[in-house]
Amino acid sequence: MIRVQNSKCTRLLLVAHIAAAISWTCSHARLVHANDFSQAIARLRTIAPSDDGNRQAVPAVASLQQASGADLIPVLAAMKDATPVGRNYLAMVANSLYRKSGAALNSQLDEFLQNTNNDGEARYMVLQWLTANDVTKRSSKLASMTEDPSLELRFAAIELALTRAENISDKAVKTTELTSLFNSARQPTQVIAIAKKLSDLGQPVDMIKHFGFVNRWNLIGPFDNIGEAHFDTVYPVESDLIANKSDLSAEYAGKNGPTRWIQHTTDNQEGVVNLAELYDKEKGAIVYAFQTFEFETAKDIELRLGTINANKVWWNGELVTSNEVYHASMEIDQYIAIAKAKPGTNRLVLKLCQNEQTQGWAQDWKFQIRICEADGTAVLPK
Amino acid sequence: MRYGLGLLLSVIPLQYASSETSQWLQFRGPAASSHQPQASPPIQFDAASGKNVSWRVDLPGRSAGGAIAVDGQVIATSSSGMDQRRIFITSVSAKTGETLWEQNLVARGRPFCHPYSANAAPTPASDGQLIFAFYSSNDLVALNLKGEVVWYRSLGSEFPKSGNDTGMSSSPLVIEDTLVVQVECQGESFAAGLDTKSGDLLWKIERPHQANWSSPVPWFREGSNNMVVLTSGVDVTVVNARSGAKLATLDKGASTISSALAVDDQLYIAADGMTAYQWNTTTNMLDKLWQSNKLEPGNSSPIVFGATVVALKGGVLTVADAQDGSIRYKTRLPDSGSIWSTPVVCKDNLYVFTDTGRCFVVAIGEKSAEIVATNELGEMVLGSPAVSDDSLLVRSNTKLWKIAKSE
Repeated sequence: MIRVQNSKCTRLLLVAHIAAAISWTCSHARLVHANDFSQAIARLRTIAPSDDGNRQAVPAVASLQQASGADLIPVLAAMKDATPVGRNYLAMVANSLYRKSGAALNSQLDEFLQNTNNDGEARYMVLQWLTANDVTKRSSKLASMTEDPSLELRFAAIELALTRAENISDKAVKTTELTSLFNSARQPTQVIAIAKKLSDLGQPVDMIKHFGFVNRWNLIGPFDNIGEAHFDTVYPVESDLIANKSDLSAEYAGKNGPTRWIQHTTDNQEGVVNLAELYDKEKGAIVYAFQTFEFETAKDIELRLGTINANKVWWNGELVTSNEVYHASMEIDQYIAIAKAKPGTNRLVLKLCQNEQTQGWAQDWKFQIRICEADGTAVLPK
Repeated sequence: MRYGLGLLLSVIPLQYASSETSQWLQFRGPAASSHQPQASPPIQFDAASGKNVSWRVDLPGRSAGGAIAVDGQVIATSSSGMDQRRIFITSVSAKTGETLWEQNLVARGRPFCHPYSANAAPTPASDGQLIFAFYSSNDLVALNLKGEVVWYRSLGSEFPKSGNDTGMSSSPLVIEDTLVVQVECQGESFAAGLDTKSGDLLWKIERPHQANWSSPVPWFREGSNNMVVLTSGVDVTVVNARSGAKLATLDKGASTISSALAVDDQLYIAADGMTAYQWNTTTNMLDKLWQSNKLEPGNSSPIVFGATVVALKGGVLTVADAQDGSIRYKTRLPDSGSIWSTPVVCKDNLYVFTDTGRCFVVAIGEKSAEIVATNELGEMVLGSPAVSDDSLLVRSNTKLWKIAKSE
């Protein structure tokens, strides 16, 4: 009997030990998992685009792939303020985790989507999951997102709203709806498409103002660029402009003799300044464009240039972008430079270089530039 | 058979030489040959009636590239959304057309391209274990066969001057354990080799600063299994795939669209029409074999099968002797429109897809060719088809198709 009791005791103790061991192992495993999980996420959030960044990312992403579907929301949340490369890593892990979780987290994901403080790219991905193969549900979710801070969601919402607007028969109602969408739109192709629809309805819009294109310029040229040899040549006018010694009444030695500043205002709705027209289709030439802007307060801005010609841009004397590319393409927002406007007068200088290619498609010499916020909203200084 | 398939198979690595005819692992398939001699896809098919269309699947965006076939999966890339920045990799069951998985990310490089093309312009590649998707924006991602990311590099961010706003389209190449990309534009131009498993940059060489859309091609020679041919508007360069070391260079401009083709010791380049070179094993240099300005590939790349070389330009097929470039005959494809994809050869039938989705099936004979069928998919096709067993896998503008005999 005693032996039996002892035996029971021993077994109870053994069971208790095993339970404790299992409990410790599980909690330790959770702790290890939690540590690995947190460390992997923290690592991926900061990955830089480099060979070293890649070496850091590979083990971290391999570790994170072991997470369960239940870990999906923290991975999505971690995309907020992560580096661009890090966001893509986390997005792809999240996508794999969603395949593991299935629809189990859909209500939490719906909350995630609705919360505009979350990362826009993560929210767009959630929209895709929640509305896969369900056009009605997608329309419903996007209906309220035409002003969404996520430009990707906003773009999709406006695309959908445009489809609906096409079916509005009342001209006044349709014009009001399209005007509202025009004001909300930020993606250039979409903005231009809406502007055309409004124009067709007899309601032209001011795209120069909407985009924040600079349309009034001081121009000087042509200067020599034969053989594409002077992209980096600092002509006296360039050094004067950069050093804030510009004198719009000054004369400089140009390619074809003395040259002076001219004032030019473009009425092109996409802010395009056609230098080929202004400078008699000169080839192998350079023109400088200059303008000043008054800001009341300091402001982070973006200078978004489109040109088919080689170019340099200076803001307040600082070179902010430089692209020695001829005749590849021209797009609105083709080259984006981040800059800071200061209170008072700010100076914008462009160097626009034409080469001597003879093909018909290589005769363009033109540019457009706008000043805007990071989301593409126009900044309209004086 | 002067250009023996047996010899070709004896020198190419296992990943390409597999007798598994279901695999089509990269742009232009095994050894970039555009050739699957055992395959017999249907001669006739039709989208409207569904004849010999096993399945068709809507994809989440557009592409100018082709699909690949890996381990029972058909892999295609897409781009869509705002500025085509959202980029996708989709896996579809080759058997059923069911979507197995889909991965997506956001392009970090320049996504701009001609409206005709797409950010998803390059054809993906695979070593049979990993899938490598590359985009005009120079985003490069490696996934395993479950669609999980293994590594990812934003080459557009690492080398921000690399990009062409008309769009890039050079397809990546897997050769042994190295992934080779050719990124050529007016800005920062380079070719690079990356370790397939880790994504580590093994080498990077500067390339001419000119727009170029051609793809790197493998050159499998006996005793030298790891050579890569890079062509551009101003040069032809042969490098060691693993080290990037230059093995041979010609100061000769080639097509910036059509890619090269290497078969045994011969190299065919779209230059001065077409020029064929022989690898000189004594001098380790390229000796010119022949040149023919009557044999010029247009947008498509050259095809060599058996003793025959085929070039396609402006809807005209030119068939010549691969040994000396002598023209055998020309055949016009009626109402062909524009053709961007490189045809594939199955047995002696050439499958030519036009940009309207028309497919000419042309029987290539010794003295003449016969158009044996004209089929319609009804949607733009810019990428080259993949061949898997007896099926064609076609990536059209918005869809993926399996063309196989109805059971």
